[in-house]
Amino acid sequence: MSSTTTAAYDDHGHGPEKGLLRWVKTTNHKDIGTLYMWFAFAMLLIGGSLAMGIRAELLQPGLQLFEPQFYNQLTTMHGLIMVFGAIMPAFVGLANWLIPLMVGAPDMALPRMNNWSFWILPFAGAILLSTFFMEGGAPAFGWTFYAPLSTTFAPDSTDFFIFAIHLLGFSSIMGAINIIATVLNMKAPEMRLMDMPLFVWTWLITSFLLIGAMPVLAGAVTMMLTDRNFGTAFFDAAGGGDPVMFQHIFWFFGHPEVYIMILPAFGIISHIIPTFARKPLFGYSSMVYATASIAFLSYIVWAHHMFLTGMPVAGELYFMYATMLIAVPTGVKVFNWVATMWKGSLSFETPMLWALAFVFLFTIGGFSGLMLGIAPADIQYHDTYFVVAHFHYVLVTGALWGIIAAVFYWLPKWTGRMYNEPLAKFHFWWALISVNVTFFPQHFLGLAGMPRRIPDYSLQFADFNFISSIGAFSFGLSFLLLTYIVVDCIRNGKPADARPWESAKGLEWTLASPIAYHTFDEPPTRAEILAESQHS
Amino acid sequence: MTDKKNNRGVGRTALLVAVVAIGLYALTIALNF
Repeated sequence: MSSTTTAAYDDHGHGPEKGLLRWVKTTNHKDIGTLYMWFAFAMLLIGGSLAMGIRAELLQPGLQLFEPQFYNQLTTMHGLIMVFGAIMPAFVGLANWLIPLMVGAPDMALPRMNNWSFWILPFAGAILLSTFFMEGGAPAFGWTFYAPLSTTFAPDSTDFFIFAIHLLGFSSIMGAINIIATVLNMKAPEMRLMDMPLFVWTWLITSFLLIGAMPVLAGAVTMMLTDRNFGTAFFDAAGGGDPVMFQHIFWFFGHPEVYIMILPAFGIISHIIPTFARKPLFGYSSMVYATASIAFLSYIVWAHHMFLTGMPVAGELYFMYATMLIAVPTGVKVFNWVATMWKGSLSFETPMLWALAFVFLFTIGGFSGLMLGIAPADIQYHDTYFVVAHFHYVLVTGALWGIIAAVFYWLPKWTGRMYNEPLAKFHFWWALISVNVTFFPQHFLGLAGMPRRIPDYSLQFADFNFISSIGAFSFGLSFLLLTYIVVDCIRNGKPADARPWESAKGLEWTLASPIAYHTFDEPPTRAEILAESQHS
Repeated sequence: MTDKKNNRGVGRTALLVAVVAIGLYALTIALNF
């Protein structure tokens, strides 16, 4: 950058504004990333509290604590809060923090829109949560809000839910636009697409999934709104509409949504494993192509969620085989992670422990997904606890594990301080054991025929439910320790080096620690990019 | 803040993607009429 240009932008040295208004008015990607992360964590704790309620009710057979209608509200709101309030915002927070640093850009492409994307969220979250206090209670139709449960037979609060989903979708779309523009237009001029770190690649592809899927969700909830209030009959069979069409539209959004919640985690794992294996990532370009393949396939498999709606056998076969196909690029990724570790000089710091657990446990979730994708077998599994076990392995030990791995990996860069390693390792093992005690027995419950979304169950399911609930209480408690570890790191952590992990590659590690409020005023050179590339 | 050369085309990219999103939203509803 020439001296003339520097003079023209004479606001370089300024730091953050003082006080609370800093967080309201900020357009800084680091601040907004932090806001997203704390919001997601708050929602994780709220959604987790609802899960504790669910598991308390299921501790023993019979109705213990809640009316069945309220129990349905708990499961519905738990799902919605975790998907739209916790996992998605956490990944957007990571994108905000990391993408500009990884591509050598000074900030996100559209900083004011970035602020708006975030500040929509607390309002949408508050609207969603407020439905608990409304007459008729919160939505109780499951996170998939199938019509006519969500239209003809839903409580009045459903209109607030619809508004909240519109807002959340709007925020996600703006976030995706921002990420696409940042990556394509703001990356360092000397950085080529195939130089980009995998977290950037996976998020770029995820952004295209968001752009393809979220408007469809918005369309679905708009049609719900008009069906409920303005006399249309999109999903009302009595008026010539089609309730099964709702399921098609929902899952046309819902299946890519699954990958929206996992692809960025794939990117994170692809950073952590090479660092702690002290080897370059095996198969960088195949990782990029596998991610793109998974994203493409995610659009053409949606009806595997609907094998029991009565589709033609040819349709079942198509959706079954297309679903099986996803195992190929996913297998490429798992193979590459294992091959990266092969003959590596492994060490097991906390981020690596979470990443390794991710590889094992996400693969379990992937395999149970394959089982569910087999159309004739799905007749047995459909709507049982097997499905609950499957998607919790994918979303908790997949998506959430990726997020926690990322937090421990980049926390020293964000805060300039190290967390308490022994305590973090203890927390990892606590969470790992308790999460498996929670969700693994649910496979058995499902195979034995226990249905989802019921507050009571037959006596033969009592033992596994008891074990699962005890595991869940322990897992829930482990998040208090996680909170302590993170707060302790921010307040009392020992100063961290600029590159706290000796083998970490990436432009973010070239920046001084603690990280400056503004970074990459000048883009990195080709030599700097190549030195920090995942290829070498 | 940013070097002008380094953010060329941001508006155009953002607009294009936004138009695609709005189009998909409209298409979802239109196809169900």
